[in-house]
Amino acid sequence: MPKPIAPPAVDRVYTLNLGPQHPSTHGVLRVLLDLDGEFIVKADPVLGYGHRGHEKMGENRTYKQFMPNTSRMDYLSGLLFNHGFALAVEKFAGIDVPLRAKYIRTICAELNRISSHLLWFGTYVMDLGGFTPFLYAFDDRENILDILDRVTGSRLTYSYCRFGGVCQDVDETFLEMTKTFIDRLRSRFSDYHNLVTKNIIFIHRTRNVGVIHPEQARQFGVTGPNLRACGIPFDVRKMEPYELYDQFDFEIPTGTNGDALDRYNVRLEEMEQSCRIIEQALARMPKGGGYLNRSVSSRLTPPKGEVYFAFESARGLTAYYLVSDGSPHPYRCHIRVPSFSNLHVLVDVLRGTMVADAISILGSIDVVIPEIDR
Amino acid sequence: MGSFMASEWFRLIVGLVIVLAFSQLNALFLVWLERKVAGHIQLRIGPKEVGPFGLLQTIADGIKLVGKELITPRSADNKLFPVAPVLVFMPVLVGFLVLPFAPHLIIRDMNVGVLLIFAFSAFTVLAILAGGWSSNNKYALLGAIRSVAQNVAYEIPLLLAVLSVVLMVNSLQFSEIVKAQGRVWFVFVQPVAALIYLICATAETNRAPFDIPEAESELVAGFHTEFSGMRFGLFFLAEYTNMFIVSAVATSLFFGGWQGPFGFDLGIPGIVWFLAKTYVLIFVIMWVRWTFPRLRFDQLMNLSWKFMIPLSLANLIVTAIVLKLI
Amino acid sequence: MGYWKEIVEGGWSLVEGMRVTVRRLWRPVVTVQYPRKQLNLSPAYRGHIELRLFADTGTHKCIACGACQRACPSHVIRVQGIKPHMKSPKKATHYFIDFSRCSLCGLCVETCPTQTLQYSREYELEGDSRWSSVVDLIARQEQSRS
Repeated sequence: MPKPIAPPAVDRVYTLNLGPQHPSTHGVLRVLLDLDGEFIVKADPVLGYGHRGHEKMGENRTYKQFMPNTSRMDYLSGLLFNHGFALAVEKFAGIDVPLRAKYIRTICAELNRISSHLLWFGTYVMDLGGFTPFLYAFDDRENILDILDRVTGSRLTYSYCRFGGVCQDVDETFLEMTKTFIDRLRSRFSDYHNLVTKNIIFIHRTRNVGVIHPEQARQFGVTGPNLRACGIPFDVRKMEPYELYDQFDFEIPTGTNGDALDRYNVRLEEMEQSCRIIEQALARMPKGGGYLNRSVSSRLTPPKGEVYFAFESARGLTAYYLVSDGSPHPYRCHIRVPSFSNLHVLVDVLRGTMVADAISILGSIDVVIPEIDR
Repeated sequence: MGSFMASEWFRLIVGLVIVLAFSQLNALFLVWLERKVAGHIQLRIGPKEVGPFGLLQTIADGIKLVGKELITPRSADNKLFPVAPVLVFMPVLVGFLVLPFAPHLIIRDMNVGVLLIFAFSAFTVLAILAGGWSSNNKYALLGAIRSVAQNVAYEIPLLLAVLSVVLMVNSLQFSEIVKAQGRVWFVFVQPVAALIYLICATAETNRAPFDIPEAESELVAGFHTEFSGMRFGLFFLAEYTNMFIVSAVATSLFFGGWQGPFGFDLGIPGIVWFLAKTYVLIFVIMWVRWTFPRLRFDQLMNLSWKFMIPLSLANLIVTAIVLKLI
Repeated sequence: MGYWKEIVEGGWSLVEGMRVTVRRLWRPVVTVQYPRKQLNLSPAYRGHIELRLFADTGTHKCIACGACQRACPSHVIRVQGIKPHMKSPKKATHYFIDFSRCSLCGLCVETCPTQTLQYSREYELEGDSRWSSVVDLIARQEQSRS
């Protein structure tokens, strides 16, 4: 990692305002960079341009009404957020879920995780200047969106899960499409590896770039693929299994250096692991048994108290913290989002790197701005 | 009048008119080709609405660019800022003076043709620096700084690669160099020099993967961030014309110019051979652009100083020794 | 030794990458030229809501109970109804929806006690002001019937 040789004189340092409108900040993130030539002396992310008050909205709505909000925070893994919220409220109010619904949710959630990683893959290579892999990834992602569109009726903000199940049953065509898609995705990986992973320019742009040390990751609360790239095999799906994840056979891919290349490899390997989970779920899914627990009241009132529920979204440990005062609205609704913690490690990691690397690191950490600002 | 028709001046004026018309048409075609190639590589169609196969799309875009307001930022250097786009386009035109399209289709067959073309193509960096510096924008400035460093680094291996060819022919005249390739193209004799030339030419024209002066995902648009309307259009035009020139030079230096492979002309006129080879090379440059990610600034320098320059130097020395021994 | 190895392996990786892209060059395109060709909508497609036309009565069955109005997280639905006679059930006269603020969550469709709400299959919507997204679904249905 290149570092400036001596601390620069103050008058040599100038400020570059990276964002909020910039092609590579993936939304409305603003990073104030103090630069010495091309080297970064100080980086200061500025948040809040996309603040919509989701947590406050949660306090003014019934539990059911908050469901559409959840898929709008992290719009790339909306279904995972739906799923997590449904699980949190189910834990809170003690609602039973039919087994078939659990399988449907797991399949859809993992499909959504793959689509999120595919999009990350595309945009990350685009940040590094390669346009074409972006469109190949979108071609594959389009298949997932078609599959999810068939069951949820929506392509991005799904609002698919309900307390006690899902809002619509899946059919044979859905299962068929999912199987075909997994085979197709696996056959595409070799092209991705030839085009990107093995590419010497790509390797040079990512190896030893933006190294996050395990200790640093712990201090900042980094989770998800970013943490696993540091070599810490932490995944909520394995550590505190929820839904059916304790019954599936899958591995947690880890890296060794914690650099951008490791984060890339971890995410690509995670897609493969998600494929494995989906295959197992497809094989075991019961034919009948209902997709929704119909006994759940529309004005659901959990008992007085609080609940904390953590799950693994595409970007890391996400958690809902709900407090109930016995009314149909939550008294407090807090959402722990992974991008928020992951972003702040930038302050440490960016110091001493170049502007081109800043883009590479920002991209490799995979932040979604509406999720940070929520 | 008759004496004027036969004079050198007349030849120059006619040449200039043809060159201007050709360079515009060529840029229009290349922009279309670039978008088509990019489209089909990415499993899309590319432009298709305006004209047959979207061929007139670039003309529509050009008309739009001409119609746009020329915005000068308040803090820009208002003398240098409007001049920079003109400055970037002028030296590019000079290159056409010495390009050997066919045996007698050369505007001026100078005996220092090779030298002239590289001298003027080095001018482009001055214009880019002027443009980036005068717009008083940090992104533009960063782009300009990168551009200067990159051009300085890549001129050296570029010229060293060309020098090994010049050594073999013992002439800087384009027609001589092309004629020397009557039997065997120099790409088979000097493969390393040809490869180095192509890589450095891509870097010289600021094309991906060496497009760091305008690195879109880092510097928004690099040195031409603040230019609008036809000022931006001129930068664009210069880029594509430059691409044609470096490919044409490669054609005449390494791929036999107007001649067919191994002395077989197949009855095809020289200009067709020349243009066909040039456009194939341009296609390769486009193909590379839509395949690879961009290099980082210091890696770009490493590539030049650690790989290109030693290799081209070694190549030059080997060439000299072999020539001496023969 | 690493120097030459890097040149050869790196160069080869670039060639491999170029092979991937050039193979795509002759493959059929995957995009659809939208206004000329259209994709089939998914069976579950969620457009804006509309009132279902029941074959037995020839009209909708909205009883203006207001369940959808209460269920809506964004408060975009306003239903008005009257009782034609003392004993007869309530009948909706106006059903306003502001589609510009609708988030298509489907809670209204799920809560409707008479199953009179459904998703329309319209996706080409346009308007010249934000008020053009405010529609009276009952008037719309009558218009489409006549």
